[in-house]
Amino acid sequence: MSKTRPLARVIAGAAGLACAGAMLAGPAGAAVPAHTHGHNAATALSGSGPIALPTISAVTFAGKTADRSLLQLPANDLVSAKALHSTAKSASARSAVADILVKKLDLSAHAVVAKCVNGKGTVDLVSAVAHGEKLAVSPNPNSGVKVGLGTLGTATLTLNKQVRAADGSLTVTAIEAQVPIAGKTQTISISKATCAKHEGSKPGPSEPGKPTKPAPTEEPSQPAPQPPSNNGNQAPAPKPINHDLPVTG
Amino acid sequence: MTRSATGAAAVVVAAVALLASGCGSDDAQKASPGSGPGAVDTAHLPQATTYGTVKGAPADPAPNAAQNGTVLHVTKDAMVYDKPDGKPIATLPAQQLKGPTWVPVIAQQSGWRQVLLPSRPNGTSGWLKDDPSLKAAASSYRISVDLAKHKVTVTNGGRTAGTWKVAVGTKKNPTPTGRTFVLAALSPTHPTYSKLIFPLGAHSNSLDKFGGGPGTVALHGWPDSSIFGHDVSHGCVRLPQKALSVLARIPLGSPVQIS
Repeated sequence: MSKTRPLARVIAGAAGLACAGAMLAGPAGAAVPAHTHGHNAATALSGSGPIALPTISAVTFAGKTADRSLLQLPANDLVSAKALHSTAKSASARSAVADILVKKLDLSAHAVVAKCVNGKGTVDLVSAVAHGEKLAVSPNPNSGVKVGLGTLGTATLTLNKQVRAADGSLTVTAIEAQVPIAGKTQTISISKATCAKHEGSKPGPSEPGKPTKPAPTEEPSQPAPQPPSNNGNQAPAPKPINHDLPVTG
Repeated sequence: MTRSATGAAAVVVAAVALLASGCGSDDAQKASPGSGPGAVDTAHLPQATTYGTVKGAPADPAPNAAQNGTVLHVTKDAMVYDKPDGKPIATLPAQQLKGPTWVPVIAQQSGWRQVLLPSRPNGTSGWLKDDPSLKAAASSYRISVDLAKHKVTVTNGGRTAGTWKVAVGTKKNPTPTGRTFVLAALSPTHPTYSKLIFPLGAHSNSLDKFGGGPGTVALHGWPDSSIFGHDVSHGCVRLPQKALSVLARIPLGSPVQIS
């Protein structure tokens, strides 16, 4: 599925993003836990780019099952959602968001779910509609929906985005929206799950039998079937360089 | 649907408002002759350093994912591509801040490795084609920065090598989140607050420049312990001086996760 459509209304959201980000950074942002290590992890909502969006319901498996929920996003002009829940277990991760509405992108869904089990990812989009068009319940990996923004460029929705890291772990994002803003790209990720692949299992997308749809504007990484060939070499400790760089104090 | 003139005006107003809000970086994007469609002028590609911006570079595809610790020593200036067999977007020089260049590998496929770059915007990455001048190694160190808890933890092979209460950026000038890496280990000519400074591959999102520098975020020591546990810096992470001896052992390119 790859369609380009004008969508002037999406732009009107750009100015609201900053305020929305600030609003979201309140109680929901404060609930973000450390998300620093371990392969199995999940995040209900996150963003990056010129607008700092907080990460919502982020968990990482660190020896025991991790769960985090947020009943409802604080009111804001950018996105509304309920029951944002993430869980990370020893062999799996799952994230789900209910009744989400990204007003300025005309994107809505009753439920958006990303699951990652033993290095394989699946996505469920329940009653998902983007700019008037119903989205597949189980979209193929890395399906792209392009939305024309006139002179500003093109926004991209990547459905069931699957990225495999060098260590074999997989990150599946149910919906990733990329919107050009002032020459940069704002990303909004809805329901993301990361899990490691157990020994003996074969890496690859969750639906290998189906053709991959047209790629989004920013191509995800490809699977890494072989570990990096560092030959076991340990990187050395650095030798401090006598040099001055003014840093942000 | 055809976008109306009113809609077009709203686009411009919104974009300007965003830049004026301070949420984004309004650093001037130096045009690269090779960045447009058609022919690529590799001689004029930007250098991927802490001083620059790499246009057309892919964003880190998984900024919250753990890194496996593979680091790449760039012993000779390397061409950076936007994707495997794609378009050259920059050169990665063999030296960063007068020291050797080490960058972390975040993905790979046959004959190619995707690495994080030290340039703006945060999370900038690029693909390097396998070459004998690229030397892979492993770092067993991980650095995690928990902004909410004002805590830095260093692990080595999964074991905690040190954990400290630290100071981080203010709400106005926050420490940027996401995964990055140790770019350099510097010994200032005239140290004032820290005898060692560890610039990261990350920049302030609110300050294009600071103190004459490009807004690079760093880990460094701080002599006044009263600031630890508070949001006081312009984006850097200030640690107790005793942490420096641990940080000094961490290989360049090692993963740093800021959350």
